[in-house]
Amino acid sequence: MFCREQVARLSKRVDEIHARGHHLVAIGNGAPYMAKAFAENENITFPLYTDPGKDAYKALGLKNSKAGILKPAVWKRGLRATMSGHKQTGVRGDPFQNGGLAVVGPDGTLRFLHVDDDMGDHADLDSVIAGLDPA
Amino acid sequence: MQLHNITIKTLEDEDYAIADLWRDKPVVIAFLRHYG
Repeated sequence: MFCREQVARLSKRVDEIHARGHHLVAIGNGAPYMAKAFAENENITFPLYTDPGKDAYKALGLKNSKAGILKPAVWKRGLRATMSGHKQTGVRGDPFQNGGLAVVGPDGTLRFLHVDDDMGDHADLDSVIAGLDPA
Repeated sequence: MQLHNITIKTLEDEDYAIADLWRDKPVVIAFLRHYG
């Protein structure tokens, strides 16, 4: 449900991100056919790629933990996502992988990185977008 | 492994150099937990 919530939030901000001179893409984990089905079901309006080996996740230090599911904050976020219509469906990909958000410049410099502390701990898009520098 | 050396996959199961995402302009990359 958190991944669906994340792409729904991003879909609403695509134009703002583009207006600031940035591409917007998403990367998931799991097989390409899983990603393709997800993109079709969620009507994603920006490019989606997949990282079956989670190499990029590892390179950025994104967290993978079973413990997060025990945290009350995660339950609250799960309720938030569910109440917003992003119900949990069958999980495809690593169920214990957490997400994140990165901004990378044309020279390959990592300009910003948010590592989700646990499930549903998405980056604050208002702050991210406000900080985008097209240069 | 360095981020810029990583190869990801398109939805059509084709290899894609992640560095091509930011080759012409900066990119915001959202990493999803999974699909579900």
